Amino acid sequence: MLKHHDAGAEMVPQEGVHEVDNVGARLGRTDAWRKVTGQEQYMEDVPLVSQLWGKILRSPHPHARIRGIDVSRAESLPGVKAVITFRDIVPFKIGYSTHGDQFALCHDRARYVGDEVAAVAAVDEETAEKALSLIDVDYEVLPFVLDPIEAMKPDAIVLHKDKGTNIAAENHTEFGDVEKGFAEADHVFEDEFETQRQCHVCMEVHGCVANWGNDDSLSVWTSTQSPHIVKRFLAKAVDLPLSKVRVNRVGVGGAFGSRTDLFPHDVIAAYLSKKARRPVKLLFSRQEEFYASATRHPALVRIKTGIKDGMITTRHVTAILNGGAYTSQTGAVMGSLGWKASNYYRIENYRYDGYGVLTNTSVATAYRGYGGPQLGFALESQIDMIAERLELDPVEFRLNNANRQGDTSVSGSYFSSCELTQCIEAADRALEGEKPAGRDQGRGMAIGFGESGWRGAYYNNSDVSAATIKMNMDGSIHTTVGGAEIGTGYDTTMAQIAADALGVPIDQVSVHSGDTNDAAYDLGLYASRGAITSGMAVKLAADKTKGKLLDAAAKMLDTPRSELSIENRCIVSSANPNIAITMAEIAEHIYEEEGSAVFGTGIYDPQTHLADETGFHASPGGSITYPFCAVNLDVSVNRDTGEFKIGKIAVAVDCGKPINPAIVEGQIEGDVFHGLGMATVEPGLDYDDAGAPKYHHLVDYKLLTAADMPQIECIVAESTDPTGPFGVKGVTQLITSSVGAALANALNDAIGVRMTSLPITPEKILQALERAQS
Amino acid sequence: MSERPEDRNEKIAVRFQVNGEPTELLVSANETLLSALRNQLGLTGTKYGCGTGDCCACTVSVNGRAILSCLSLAAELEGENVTTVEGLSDGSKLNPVQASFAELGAVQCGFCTPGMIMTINALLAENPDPSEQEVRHYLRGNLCRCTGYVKIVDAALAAAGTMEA
Repeated sequence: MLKHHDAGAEMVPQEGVHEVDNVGARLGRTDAWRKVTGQEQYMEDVPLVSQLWGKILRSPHPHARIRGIDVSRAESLPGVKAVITFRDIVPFKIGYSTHGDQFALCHDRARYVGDEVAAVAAVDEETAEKALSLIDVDYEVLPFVLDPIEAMKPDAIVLHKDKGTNIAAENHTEFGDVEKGFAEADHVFEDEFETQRQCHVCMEVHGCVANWGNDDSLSVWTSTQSPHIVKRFLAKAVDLPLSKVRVNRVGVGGAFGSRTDLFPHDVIAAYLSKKARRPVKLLFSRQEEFYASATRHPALVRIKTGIKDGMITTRHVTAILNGGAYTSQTGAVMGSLGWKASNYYRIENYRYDGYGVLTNTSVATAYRGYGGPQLGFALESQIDMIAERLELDPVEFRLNNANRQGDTSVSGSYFSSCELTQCIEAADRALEGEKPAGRDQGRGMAIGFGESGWRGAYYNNSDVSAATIKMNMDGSIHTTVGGAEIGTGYDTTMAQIAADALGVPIDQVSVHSGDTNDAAYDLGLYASRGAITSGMAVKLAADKTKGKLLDAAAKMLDTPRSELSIENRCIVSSANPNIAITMAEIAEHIYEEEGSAVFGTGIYDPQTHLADETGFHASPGGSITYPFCAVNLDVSVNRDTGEFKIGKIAVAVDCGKPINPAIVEGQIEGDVFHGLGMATVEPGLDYDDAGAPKYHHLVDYKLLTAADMPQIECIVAESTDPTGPFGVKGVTQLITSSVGAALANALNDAIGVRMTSLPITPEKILQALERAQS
Repeated sequence: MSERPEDRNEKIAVRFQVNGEPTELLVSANETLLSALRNQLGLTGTKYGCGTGDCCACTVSVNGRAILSCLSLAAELEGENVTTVEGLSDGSKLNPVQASFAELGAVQCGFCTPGMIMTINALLAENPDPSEQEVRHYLRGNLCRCTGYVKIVDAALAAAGTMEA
């Protein structure tokens, strides 16, 4: 029934509940209760009746021809339900988008220690492992190459014959006139830096649970950042229409870039399930996680910088990235490194020469920072080296050359907001009064630059996200989004945006993400895009839902729609203060009296520009907006042992408006953790002379612990950006890119030695001190 | 029931308390507590992180002490009192450590969370008023890849405050 209420009577909403309460609030996460009580369901927890265990047989050789595979002994082992090799699967090449060069199971060649050769599904894990040992592979061991410089030589062993070269991607791009810039410069400096193969080390290992139904449909639970990307390419790999493939929501135990694509294990689990006609759970061991899941690209970065009148005018960056055995995202990471370098400071001339090189090592892919940490270590170390050589204050040198709001970078990125100078000053101030006075103590700064989404990341002309809001009869809302809760607070952020966009209390909002059957096509969570593209999609979905409510209310109340608005969970009329109807009342009316439904779908693709094949020329920008940061830290060094201790790290970030300050701080702290690990204790996955990986366990590959971590001070230098929802920008990644150089700069300040490779270890410091003395 | 006939006679009966419930299981000699909890009892809140005792994601409580369930044999737990993350609350009211994790943003991906919460409960049972340094030292085996430990340490200290009160 229609109800009319006096706005002044009982329909006055509860105090404190009005339309913009949630955005900007430090709210608890919507997934917290599930996670603290052990109810969150990750891949290993998915319960499926009569589920089998899947295991992968991996190449023990860095490079070998596979002359034959005999699975007959494995197949006859009791308890084994399926054994597959390349012969059982469609020859689909997995890779980054359509640029694939990796079969899910090797055909005639294995290219790194860990390459997938065959797979089994059995009634339990022990039987599956035993079956692997019964598969006979006839390998002809081939010469191999681990070092990208060696692999680039014309006479090198070529991994992929059809490519004819190990250089998987090259980038040679110039803006302005670099030669002229260097010729006119007062000073030109050239320095070289090296970074290691950092492992993502997600606490949850990689894997996939697959259920191939007897109706020839495929349902998978795979821990992923991009459910729709997995679905899109998995359908091709198993030769099913997209309508028959579903990626289900599942808890994601850490991602950091390592779960942005379809991987061989997804395809293998699917085919094992198809052959066995039973669900298959395939999870890596921690050992496999180290040597057979993807890593960060080890990089050599050379930077040549021209200075005129104290200003940076010209830069030439050369980078060589080790991409591992298959191309994956190597071209894109290499391109992104060079593109980022063009945006760090106000420069007039820029040249990039980038190489992504294949070697017989594990595959390198996206990892927090996406080329940024390799670049940031080099570029921001060199800033201090130049300042020292020219006797300039490094903080002032940065301020003088820093980007500002309204700038367009040499490569064409337009900075619609930029509080970089505020970040530099705030990070500098944060350590004031703590100035280390003693001998062997120092301070170092580095800035960072990042993106907020990226057009064309999957070689498409899109940066699209999708959301649907459905209002229930009681006025509560169900929000469906196309990304996934990977730990970054995505669901909570979306709930906050939905609640405020529609004026609904947050406890009446539920968010469902990560399921391809629910949401429209969405590229997923990478490039710090979630809060922006999904956030805008949610806002658009809310606007459409609001429109439906107002249309129905206008009819129901016989009032012009233009006079109606939503305030305090009621539809009110500007012309008649006696009209007020609750959201629940109008929703119920729409369902019960109109025989209709209340929902709205929002599709958002930002007004950005597509880069060309070089990854450049996306002017005014491939990303809708850009975050900036400055990291400042204190260090003290023991010259006898080379050990060092970081006193405090101050991080100032221009990430636009924080939707949830606690979530933003968590991202900043996590960013510091990955950056500091890369800078100090994480050795990177290294290989011995036989091409075998050196690290298989968390005792060899160290992570920083709670006892190691220094104090972190987070400062949000809030900017007002006109582009994202509520002025939000990306926040993750760029700080990870800054920590290594800040540490190297602080160490140089403390003991006068310059570290040019990561990780920085006590051994390297002692060696550098010895060199400095001799 | 195992599908491998040769297994059926190799099982060992073990009787112990799990989250306050008397429980009897048939386990194989090499079955870990982690496997028994997860695969036999469906208590999947306890996580496999490494299987070698290096990450502490699998931490549970045995008679109030934090132990690594991936390195403990189920058959050796006869008569013991095991508590997992599922046993800390009835679902409507959280244990103080769980509550401060939820309130203070100490949870991101959540995979290390059950092990962290079990370890901190064991710490607070031993030392109800730890310093920040003591918390950090006690947690040095529990790895987390998301948080940099900042809000986890904050949550432990906050829980100590509420437990005292």
